[in-house]
Amino acid sequence: MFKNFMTWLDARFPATKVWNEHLAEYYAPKNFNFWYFFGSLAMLVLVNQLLTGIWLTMFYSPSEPFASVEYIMRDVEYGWLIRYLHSTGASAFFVVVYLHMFRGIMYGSYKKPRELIWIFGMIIFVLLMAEAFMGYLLPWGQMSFWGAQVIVNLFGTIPVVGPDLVEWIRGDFTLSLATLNRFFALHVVAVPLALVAMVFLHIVALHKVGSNNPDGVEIKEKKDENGIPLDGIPFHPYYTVKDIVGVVVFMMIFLGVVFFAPDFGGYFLERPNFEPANPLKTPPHIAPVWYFTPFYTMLRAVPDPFGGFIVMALAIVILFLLPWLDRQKVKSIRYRGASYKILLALFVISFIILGVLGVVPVTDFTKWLGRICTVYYFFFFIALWFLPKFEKTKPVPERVTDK
Amino acid sequence: MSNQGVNKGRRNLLIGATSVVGAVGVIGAAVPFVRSWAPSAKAQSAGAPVAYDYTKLEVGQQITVEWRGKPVWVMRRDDKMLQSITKSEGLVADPASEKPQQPEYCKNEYRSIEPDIFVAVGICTHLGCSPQLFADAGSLEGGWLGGYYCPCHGSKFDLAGRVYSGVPANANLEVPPYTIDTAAKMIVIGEEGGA
Amino acid sequence: MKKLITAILFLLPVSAFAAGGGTTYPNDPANIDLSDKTSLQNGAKLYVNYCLGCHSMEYVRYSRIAQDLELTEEQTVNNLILGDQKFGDTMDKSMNGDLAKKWFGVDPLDLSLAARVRGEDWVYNYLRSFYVDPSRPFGVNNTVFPEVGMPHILADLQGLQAKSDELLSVEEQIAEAKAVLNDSEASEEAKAEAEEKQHEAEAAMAKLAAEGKMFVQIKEGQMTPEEYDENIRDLTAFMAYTANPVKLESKRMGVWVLLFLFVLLIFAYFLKKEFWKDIH
Repeated sequence: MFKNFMTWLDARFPATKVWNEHLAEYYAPKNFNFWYFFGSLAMLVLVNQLLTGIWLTMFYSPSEPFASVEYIMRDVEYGWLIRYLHSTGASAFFVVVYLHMFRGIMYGSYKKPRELIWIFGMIIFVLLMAEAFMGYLLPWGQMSFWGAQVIVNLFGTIPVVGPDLVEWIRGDFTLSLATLNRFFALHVVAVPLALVAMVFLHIVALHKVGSNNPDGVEIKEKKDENGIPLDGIPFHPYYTVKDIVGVVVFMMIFLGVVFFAPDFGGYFLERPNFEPANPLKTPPHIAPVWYFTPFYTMLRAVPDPFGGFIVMALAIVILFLLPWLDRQKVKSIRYRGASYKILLALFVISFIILGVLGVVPVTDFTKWLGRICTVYYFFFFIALWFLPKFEKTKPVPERVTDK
Repeated sequence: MSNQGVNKGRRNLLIGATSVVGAVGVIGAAVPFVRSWAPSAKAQSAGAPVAYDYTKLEVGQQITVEWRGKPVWVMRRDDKMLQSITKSEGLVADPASEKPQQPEYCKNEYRSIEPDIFVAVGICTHLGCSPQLFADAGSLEGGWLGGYYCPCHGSKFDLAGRVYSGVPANANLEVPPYTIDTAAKMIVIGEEGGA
Repeated sequence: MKKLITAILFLLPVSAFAAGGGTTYPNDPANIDLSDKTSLQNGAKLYVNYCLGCHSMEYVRYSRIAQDLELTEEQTVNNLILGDQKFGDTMDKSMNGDLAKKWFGVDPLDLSLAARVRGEDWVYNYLRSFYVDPSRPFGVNNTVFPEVGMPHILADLQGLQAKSDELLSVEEQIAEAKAVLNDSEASEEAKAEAEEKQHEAEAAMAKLAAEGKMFVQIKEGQMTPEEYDENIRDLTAFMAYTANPVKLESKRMGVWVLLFLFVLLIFAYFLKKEFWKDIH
């Protein structure tokens, strides 16, 4: 019965073919470690955001934004849960995506032939930032308003066209419901569509070349008589059952936050955002949401606002260039020299410092620390270009080393 | 990779158990999403019972009260009207109100708690238009006993909201739950309980 | 496993969110108990009697309060609903906003979410810190919210208090130190000395606050200071409840969800182990 149906279906739609190519006969290296959970977790969070987001639009109203959020929180049955899943999901998205990107850097997953996977991934990251930024305006609280105000005004620092551009983005002479309405449309329709499309391309590109692994060994170079990589195992069932464990552990942490600390001490939902937007009164401390803080600190590190804007933009652009900046042939950190390990460790530390500096009040000390870390951020990428000349790499094994 | 020495029974048991527990989780996760579609506290507040002071109503007069966004008629029927209901007995499709179009306490000849006070949802049971009142005998057509006429598709009802035989609608007009608070002279539409 | 723990730690906050502005005094903990229905009920009654005249709670429904605070509809209608509002309505203020603007210069804030914006402790301390200050339009000022534009609406209950002599002298020391610090002509030495003085004075202030010696009672109220604090605690608890009415429910549900996930984890773990026996 089922077999007949599948024959009928396969004659009309490549169901079995897709299943095999991407799951049952997609051979992934058998030595994936902890860091390889974050790709599937990012997918899980994306689904969570889409589902809860669709539900929130059923109750949210851009003409009375603040009141309709409180309507969701109080009057709609389980509305509070759906909203907390979405707001916590936004932060969770950045947690898993940052860890996923770090994994890529650590094991050289952007190197030939995976440059395009990295580029697609970076586009996803940029889209995600846009999505988060526009979504954060929608509750129309004080932080929503003033956060968006600051970021939108950044475009005003662009010479010549700046002021007109800002007015065009806002659709008003100040940030208003007109702005919110277009952000709403972009947040719920345009950007999610683009995101889903890019995620699709990211995976298509990945499955074309195959996954990298913690050893940075190309498993396709050693195949058995059937043409199956010796170090490859079918994604399904082996990695599906493994990812289920990862998903459950992740959900325990994620839902723990959702149910017990959705504000997360003011990091996920900021206190002033429970006060309706007031264009006449700026809250005493405006700090962006935590996932933007590293870039925000870079913005503040430059005294000239337009200069800061350029630096911040370059910080993103340079990530796109990573596959070509890192000229070392050895992929994985396991076989790279001590010099690289130190460079990367300092990079992580400086990035975290940049993040912390974005939420603490500015003093002379933090200003200089922020500048040092910003310079180091860029130094890291430039150093990668010259590193192969000095680096003492270890021999890369023929086969993966562990399971 | 080798498939030798695989305990198939154990493996299938684990697949089954994990699937069942996982399915319970998925169903649990669906609950908030399904429940969120129920009328919200705001809608429930707007749909709360509506009280109407029926002493304001003259005998023979009908007014429309809004309850849950629907027109609800309140009418004080005079003796002539009540007699017309008895007369239409043979003309209506469901004279004994067998179909559950009214609360149990209104399942009687006049389809009301007090004979003179008639309460009904003013929406035709055919396709949802609001019928018009032609109270006097002969006011709609020759031989008309008095009742309601739906302008959309010509359904007819008597003054107890009972549908005539042979018209598009096939059920009596709905009588909402209501109580009559005789002390306060109030009709409370939407509150169960009868007199 | 070690890596997993590292990753979990990574998700934890680096430090608590930086508190806004300088500390105000008193800064006693509110110590509210959201599961104590009697406390919440008393708080609701106080709110309705003393605050709702000017401060609406436009997102809070009486019916929801009744449900969460275990009150019957009749009790709610008789005790909490003062105007001609209905059981399912939100808590509107009785005062007209335009009129209020004329009297107070502002339309008093909606307080549905106040405890979430300011924090419970802030609300608790604010309501206990009105003191007599003839220079202000309503004759009172507040140490937690200086130059406050609100009269001391609870003066009947609390009575009136004035700043104690100790507090006045500490404030004078702080003001003197600040004057030196802001003086551009002062020497580095003088500034260092002033800074030290300021720290000392602030420590003295914290001590006064902790010992409850900031104010002296100058007029008795209907309540003793202890009774008053207890009632303000109830009022704060009620406002904390309205600011986040699902807090308790969310935690209750969370426990069950985590227990369920733990069971699922056990099954998923053994399933994974079973399949990965194949891999050598």
